[in-house]
Amino acid sequence: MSLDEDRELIKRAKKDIQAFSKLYEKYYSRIFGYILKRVANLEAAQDIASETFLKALRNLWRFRWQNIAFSAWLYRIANNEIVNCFRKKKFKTASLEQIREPVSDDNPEKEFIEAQERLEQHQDFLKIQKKIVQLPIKYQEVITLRFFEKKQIKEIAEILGKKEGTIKSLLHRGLGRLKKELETL
Amino acid sequence: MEEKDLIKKLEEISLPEIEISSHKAGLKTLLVKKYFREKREKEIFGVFQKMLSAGVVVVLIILISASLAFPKYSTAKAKDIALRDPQIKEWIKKGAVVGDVKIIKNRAYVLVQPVDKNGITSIQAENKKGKGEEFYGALAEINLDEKKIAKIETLTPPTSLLTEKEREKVEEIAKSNPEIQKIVPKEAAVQSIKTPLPSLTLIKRGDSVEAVPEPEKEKRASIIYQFGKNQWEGKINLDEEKVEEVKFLGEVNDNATFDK
Repeated sequence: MSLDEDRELIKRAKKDIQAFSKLYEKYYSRIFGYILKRVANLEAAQDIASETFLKALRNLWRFRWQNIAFSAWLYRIANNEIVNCFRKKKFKTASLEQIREPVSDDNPEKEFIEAQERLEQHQDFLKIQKKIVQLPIKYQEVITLRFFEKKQIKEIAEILGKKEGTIKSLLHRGLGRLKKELETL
Repeated sequence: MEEKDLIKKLEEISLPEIEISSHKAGLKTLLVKKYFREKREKEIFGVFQKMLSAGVVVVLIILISASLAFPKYSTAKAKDIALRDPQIKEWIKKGAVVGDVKIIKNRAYVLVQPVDKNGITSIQAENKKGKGEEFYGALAEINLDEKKIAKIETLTPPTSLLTEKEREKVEEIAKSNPEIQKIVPKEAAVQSIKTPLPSLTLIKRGDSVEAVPEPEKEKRASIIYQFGKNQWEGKINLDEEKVEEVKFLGEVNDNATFDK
């Protein structure tokens, strides 16, 4: 979606529920996937994703176009919620009951368990992710966005609100730290 | 491990692409419900904001008006206090007016100067001791908190700035003026040459004020002719080298002249 399209959609979303739903449908998978790659925990990912979109909705009315893509704005909110989650070191479990609706005859709990099993099949990812989360947040963000979200330096700079040079520097230093962490494996 | 090896490993790693559709659906439902609630709250808040903004504007207008009105109130109060003083009342009766007023902290400074149709003048007035004296102007200091006059200082007119050359020039301009030749008898002699009394203004100097002459736009002088008991006045504009007015003053009275 181009910047102009984003801008138009956000403008409409402030008044039109359909436009808002469109935004949500477009970006949910991307944001949830990013959060999951950051936290490697389905329960936490659900909570953080919920908080991200709730916050986005709350701030939608005050949203002033800042010449960045809407997705970049969502990534920023997601980053902040991930940091909050790590700081609190607790994941709300109440949301599990509040925010799950059966979409088919399947039991939501069953869907969750199956998702959990699929996650556990990605052992290489889980091992590396375990080391990534031990790094300072600033390195976690750039490494995940670059290698797991496949973002370009320019996009990462936009999401994090930093200069491209800074992003490159953070990546280089982050990889250096991650290398050391992995050598202890 | 080299950095490039790490990069390769990260780029090639198999990533979990997992989505929990029940969560997606449930969150959407929650968001839709909140959407309408937030929208309603925003509309109410928007109205409230507009009312608040309007209220703030009204308050600002009141405050600005009050701040603009306040100094006027203090000025008016100062004038009122000054006009209650017997001495100042005396001067006012004889033709003086309240001129400039300056407020510094809780003190007001009121300038009183006699004027006539020709501008600033001087008058004969009795001072507080009952003695007659030439009155040119006075500065009253008023304590606004106590609402009374702290002191009154009579002002002496500034000394003339006419040089000898300028005085000669005044005579020459007047002498060659047809209007003066027509009105003033040939036998009349120059009684005096004087500069008009300047209008005073108050300027702040620290915690006090000073009465200073207003700057002259053009240099002027008056030449007084006398023949017998009759006097005539010619008003000369030195800058433009012309006579602006000629008039008969009447019979001599004891006007003080500041220049000869």
